[in-house]
Amino acid sequence: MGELIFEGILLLFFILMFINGLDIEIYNKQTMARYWPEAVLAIIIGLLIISAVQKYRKLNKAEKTKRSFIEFCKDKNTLKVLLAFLLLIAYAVLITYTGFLPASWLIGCCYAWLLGEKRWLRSIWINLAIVLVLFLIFHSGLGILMPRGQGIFKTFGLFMERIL
Amino acid sequence: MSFDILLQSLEVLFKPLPLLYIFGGTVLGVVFGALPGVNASMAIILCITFTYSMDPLIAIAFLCTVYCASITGGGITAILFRIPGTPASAATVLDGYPIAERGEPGKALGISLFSSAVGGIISTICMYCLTVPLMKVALKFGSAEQFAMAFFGLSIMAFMENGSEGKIKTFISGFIGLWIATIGIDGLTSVSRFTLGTKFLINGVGTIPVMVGIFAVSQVIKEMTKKTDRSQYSDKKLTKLIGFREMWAMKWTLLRSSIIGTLVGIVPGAGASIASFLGYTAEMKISKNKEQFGHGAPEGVCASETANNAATGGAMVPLLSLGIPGGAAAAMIMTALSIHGVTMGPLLIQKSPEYVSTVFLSMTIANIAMVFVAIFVAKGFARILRMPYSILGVVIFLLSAIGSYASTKNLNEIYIMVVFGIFGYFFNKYKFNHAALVLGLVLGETCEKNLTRALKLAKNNVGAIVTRPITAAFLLLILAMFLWPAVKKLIHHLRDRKAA
Repeated sequence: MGELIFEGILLLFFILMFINGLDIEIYNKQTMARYWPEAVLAIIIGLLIISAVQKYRKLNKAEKTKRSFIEFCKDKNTLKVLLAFLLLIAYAVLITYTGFLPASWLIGCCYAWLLGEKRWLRSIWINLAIVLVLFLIFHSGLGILMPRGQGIFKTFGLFMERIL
Repeated sequence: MSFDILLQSLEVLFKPLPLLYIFGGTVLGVVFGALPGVNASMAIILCITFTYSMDPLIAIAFLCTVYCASITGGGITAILFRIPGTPASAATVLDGYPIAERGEPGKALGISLFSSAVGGIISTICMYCLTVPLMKVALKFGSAEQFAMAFFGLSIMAFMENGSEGKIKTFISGFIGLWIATIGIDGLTSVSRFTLGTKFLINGVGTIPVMVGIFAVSQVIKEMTKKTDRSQYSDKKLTKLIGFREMWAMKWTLLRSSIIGTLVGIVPGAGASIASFLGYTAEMKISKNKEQFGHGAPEGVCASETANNAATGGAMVPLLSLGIPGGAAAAMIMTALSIHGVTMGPLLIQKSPEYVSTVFLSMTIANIAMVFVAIFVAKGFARILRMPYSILGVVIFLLSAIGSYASTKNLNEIYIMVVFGIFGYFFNKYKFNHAALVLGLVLGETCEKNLTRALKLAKNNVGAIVTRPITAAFLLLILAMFLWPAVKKLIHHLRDRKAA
């Protein structure tokens, strides 16, 4: 069932992209810029329809019911995965505002917990060490400017860059 | 090239200090290459500072060493953490990671490092002996030929999975990769495509964040729900490298992939990633253990690593003979040497042939040194897998984020990694083919760009494109690959009938 939902979402997305692709400008009679991706999208849509139909035919009655969907949502693993996704999105947002060090440390602690580390204090120290070592290697060692964040976090980032 | 010039270069290089630079370059290259986000060109940039005080001949030797070693180092994280540091190591993930997952990371790393060294040495020998004739072949590679070559690489999709369901999923994955490669501003017409009216996607979707998201981030999320049995990482097999006999059994794979890598390397713009996938494709078609490919076939790791390192020697051919850098890394070497007043091109071979022999010698020494350096590096890295996954998973995730960001120093790359991490989780869960997606992504741009150019040059006459000798040869090869299973079946059928 989950696979069918995933393929359905993909199908919808690619149909929308196909429609969006019809607006690609044809510059100086060069049609390939529009028709190459449109041809690729048309093939994807066709293949997804075939795959979804095949899958729907194979589904048994029990899998087609609402109940299996509710069970899927209530599954402990599904909640864990959803939490992991939320944390990923939170990391992408946080790193813009807090910079690399605080965001990475925070997500590191949360991911360690999701991966089975139950000793909080140990996790906090280990993740702090990991983040600092990586910062040292990439920033101080290789000169890669890591995201600093904004406001007070930027000041903190600059301070850390100076001392490390 | 005359023997005297080779001796002249030997005199320059076989002194303690130049040898120390080559050895240091090898260590730096392997370590930089192993860090996600630090690709060969970045490793060279980071090492240019060291060359300011060097003699130009030693500088080129040092930079070529770093170039070779960094391509090799890229395979380390691909095998251990499923993070392909560069697109050139993407094919290595497909079989290297399953071998590591079986509890034999040392074996996978050993194959990767030894194959890289052999590939590198064979390609440098080819480069030294055949620079001028090889260049003539490279010059025959126009847009139509490059399209045919990329299309040949894409044709591997048809053979990746068996069964109609698997094949459909593989094709969907490959075409999604091709579509992702079209996002952003079109390089030829400057028309924006699928940017949804935002500036966010104007530069397109980078290969590194997509690969890192699909391979590494999704794997960390998967581990949260379905823990891999890590007990196998505690025994002696962990750091055990591959034996000579096992490696010897792959001698033809080494030779074939070295030739493919060198030939692809000399084509300007093709590079190590295409070489690696082509080497993998060819081996998959030829191998007797086809079904093992993608599930931990040693030949898969051997083919992709040999070919990508062989491309480094090949890339030196257009650089030294024509002054055309085959890829970004070769362009960096060219820039670094221009600081020393050395201009690459046809005049270099005529006036200062010692540069060609120095490159040859340094790359050969580096490839030999790499085996020894890499054995220690590989054993050390393999031990990392003994860490509890609650620590290793965090390290992998943060390395993925840094790797994505460091490639362009743009936070957008982290957003792309996040999107593809989530997408990759479902993609893997429902058994879509991530290898086909990466294949489409890596070869998509080359394919489209060259087809467009070829059509424009041929005034939209498809016949004029497909009848060019090299293009026709590639297309016939693809056709033969598709028809061969049917022909084989027919032959068997006829034989059975005759016997009956």
